[in-house]
Amino acid sequence: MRSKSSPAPARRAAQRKAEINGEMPWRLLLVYFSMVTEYVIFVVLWTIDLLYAHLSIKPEWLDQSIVIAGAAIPVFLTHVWFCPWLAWRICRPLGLFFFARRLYRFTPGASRRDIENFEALLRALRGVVPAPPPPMKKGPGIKRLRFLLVNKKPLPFLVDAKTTLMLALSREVLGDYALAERLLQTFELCPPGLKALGIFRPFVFEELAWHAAKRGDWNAVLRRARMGSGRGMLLMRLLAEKHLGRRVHRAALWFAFLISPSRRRAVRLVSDAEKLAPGEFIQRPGCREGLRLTHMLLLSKASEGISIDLGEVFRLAEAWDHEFAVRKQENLLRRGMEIGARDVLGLARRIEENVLDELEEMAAAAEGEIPREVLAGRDEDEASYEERLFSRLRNRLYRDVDALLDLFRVESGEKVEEGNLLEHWENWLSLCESVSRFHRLLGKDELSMLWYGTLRNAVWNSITRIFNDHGYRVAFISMIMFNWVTEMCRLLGDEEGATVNRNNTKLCRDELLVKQRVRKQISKWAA
Amino acid sequence: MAEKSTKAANFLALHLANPFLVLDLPPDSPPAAVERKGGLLLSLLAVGAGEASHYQTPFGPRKRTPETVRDAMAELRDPQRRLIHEWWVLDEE
Repeated sequence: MRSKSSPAPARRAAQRKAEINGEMPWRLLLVYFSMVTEYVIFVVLWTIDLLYAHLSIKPEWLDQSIVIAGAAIPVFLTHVWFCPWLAWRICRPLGLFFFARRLYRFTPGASRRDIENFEALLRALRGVVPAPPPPMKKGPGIKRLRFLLVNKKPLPFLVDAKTTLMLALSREVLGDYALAERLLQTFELCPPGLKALGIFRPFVFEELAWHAAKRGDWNAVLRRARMGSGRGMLLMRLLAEKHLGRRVHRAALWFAFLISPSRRRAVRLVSDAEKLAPGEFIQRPGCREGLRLTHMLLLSKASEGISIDLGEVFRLAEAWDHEFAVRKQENLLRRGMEIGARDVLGLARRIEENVLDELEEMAAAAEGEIPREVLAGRDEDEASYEERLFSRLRNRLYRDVDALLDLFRVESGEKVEEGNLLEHWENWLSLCESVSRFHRLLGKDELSMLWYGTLRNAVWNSITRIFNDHGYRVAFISMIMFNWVTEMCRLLGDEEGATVNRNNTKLCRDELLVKQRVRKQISKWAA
Repeated sequence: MAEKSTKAANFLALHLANPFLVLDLPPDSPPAAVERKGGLLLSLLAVGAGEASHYQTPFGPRKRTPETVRDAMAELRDPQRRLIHEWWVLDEE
């Protein structure tokens, strides 16, 4: 038993206080304001509708039926939407996760899977990665409890769209932004109609967009706002467009703000966006003059994960090439002799190699295309600095793909454990991104060599094995993986591979659709 | 969003810990000036003078400690290491 003076409750209270930013009355007032405005808007619109129907419809029986239906529909809608709304919009911002969990259980038609998913979503908000349930305890006591429906058998762990979304949210909260972004790309690869995100779509994408806005990554905000839906997403989209320098009407921005949820945390973003003139970007402060300062600026961007253009890195390499020209090195030799340094030529070569190492790091973190002149002027005998950089980048791309591919080269008969499924999925997304980068930078011919050399069989076998081992539980990710392999086969002219993988994709899709349909039927029957 | 590069962060940290930046000296300073400035900074840090606790870099102020000052002095005593550091803080033409 914990004593009153123990630090844990105090710490928890402080944490809770920090969570709600120490402004409980304000927050409650705003929540109250939000509830009242939404309710008033709804009641006014509904009353106008009913009055119009009452005045315009002549037969008395129809008029009465419409009035009865009109009175029943809001009650029904309120009943269906009220619990999730109360749990997410009221309890979650106040940090009342316990009540949020309990309230969601009263949602009509919510299955046990939905309730568990909502609980996992609340955990993901605190940075807890989704995981399969712990193994069940065995024994007569447990059997008795299960018979009395007190202790239920845990549901099987599904790696579906919702799990992927929750995983992305938890990665974002934990600060692994690149991985979160990679996980969200799943939804761009997935065919429409198979995501089945339901109520998660407005909730989670809104939260993800908020996180991206907090760190000022407005491109990510725009992408996420486009994937999501709802009033909050409208505001985020307009804010992102404004920050990216597009013209957004002031009235539209304020209207989106007024109808959006979570207005308190939005108000600062909206007022910041208001201060921006049209076409103005918020740029990070940095130094842009001089070769060495540009070099350091690009290093700083690479270290912070800010996107760099690959062309910029190659232009920098060209500038270094001029700097290392013989005339400039003469100064180094002269100065070396002045201060009594030995082996100055060796030192100059060491500096060149160090600069090349740093440029390689920048190029590895950069996005975009390699300038055409670098690819055109490749000369094996006398390589310029840019060509040496290109050669290093090429080796690195091969190494990256190989390192990721090693994770998929499992011995035959070895099973991917349930607990490692999400890790496997993350690795696969990384591999997918590496291959796509490889293709973009090195072209189709080199990709073809890589594909037929090692990639094709390793990836194909790995997906088949995972689907055979886990079946419908991994149907969603298997479908996306097979679809990707089909696209790759089609791109490289492998017709046989494309046909087989198209059939595999269809198989996974059917499995997914059957499960979704069955689940819908069961929840209908239960309701 | 690109992934954060730890190696790039390490490279940048090395550049920002350039002894000429730490000691706030021009690259052509004679060894005696290096020793004198190092000694002065160590004394200031020992008495807790506020102005000595930070040094300016192109990316804003960084913390200066007695260890960083001693490391910087040691780096500049070796002519080869000094030449590399000088090269990195050269004025652009």
